[in-house]
Amino acid sequence: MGKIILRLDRVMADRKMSLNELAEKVGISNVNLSKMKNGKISAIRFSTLEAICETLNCQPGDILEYSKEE
Amino acid sequence: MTNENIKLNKVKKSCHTVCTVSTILGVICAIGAVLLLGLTIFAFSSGDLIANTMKQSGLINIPAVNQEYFGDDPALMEKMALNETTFFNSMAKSIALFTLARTIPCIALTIAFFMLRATFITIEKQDNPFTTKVINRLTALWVIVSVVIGLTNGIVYGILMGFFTYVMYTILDYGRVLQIQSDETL
Repeated sequence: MGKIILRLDRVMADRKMSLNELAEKVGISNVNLSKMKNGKISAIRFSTLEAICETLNCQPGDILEYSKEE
Repeated sequence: MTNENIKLNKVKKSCHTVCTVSTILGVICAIGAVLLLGLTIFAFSSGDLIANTMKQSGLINIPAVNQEYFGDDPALMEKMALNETTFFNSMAKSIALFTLARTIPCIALTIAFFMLRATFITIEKQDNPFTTKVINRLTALWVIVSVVIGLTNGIVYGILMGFFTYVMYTILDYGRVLQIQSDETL
């Protein structure tokens, strides 16, 4: 069974945005954003995804990636 | 303030009230348990004293009753007097057993009230009622209450309370799973 990987670090690097800055703009704590970045969460709310996409000016597909496990 | 926080504040307030009430009831039960225990020990150790006091008070007069049946034969009366002391002695022991039977549920209730207090303090501090610690404590508390009800009100009520405990445990356990899911969702 495959899994969903969050590519938040890649998009943040492209936009040259720090973790603290993104956390402040999205309105979540940097601890939680760090968890999200390291893939230590099991679900993401649409509202959070919307806020991230709006801040980073990207599509959900740029952040989420499906990986097929072998 | 979000809807979640408003509800959590309500939970905290109710927990605080339960803490205060359970502390008061726990202290009352503890005092009751100590008094009953003291009375039990006194009744067990001073059986003769109680027997003599009861005999002298004349509240229960066995020879008077027995005289009607056995007449006034001195030998028989002497034997009856001996029996009378034995009777009052065993009555004192019965009182001791009666108070002991009330002491055990009282001690169990004291433990239950202080466990309840500790559980609700934990909920108040953790900001979350669905943790393993809280659920295990509440289940242990309900088990104690089930045993007390079973001992005092009859085994049927005890079994019913045990069934209620099991149902509540499964509900809270499901709540714990939902809480983990909620915590892992951002």
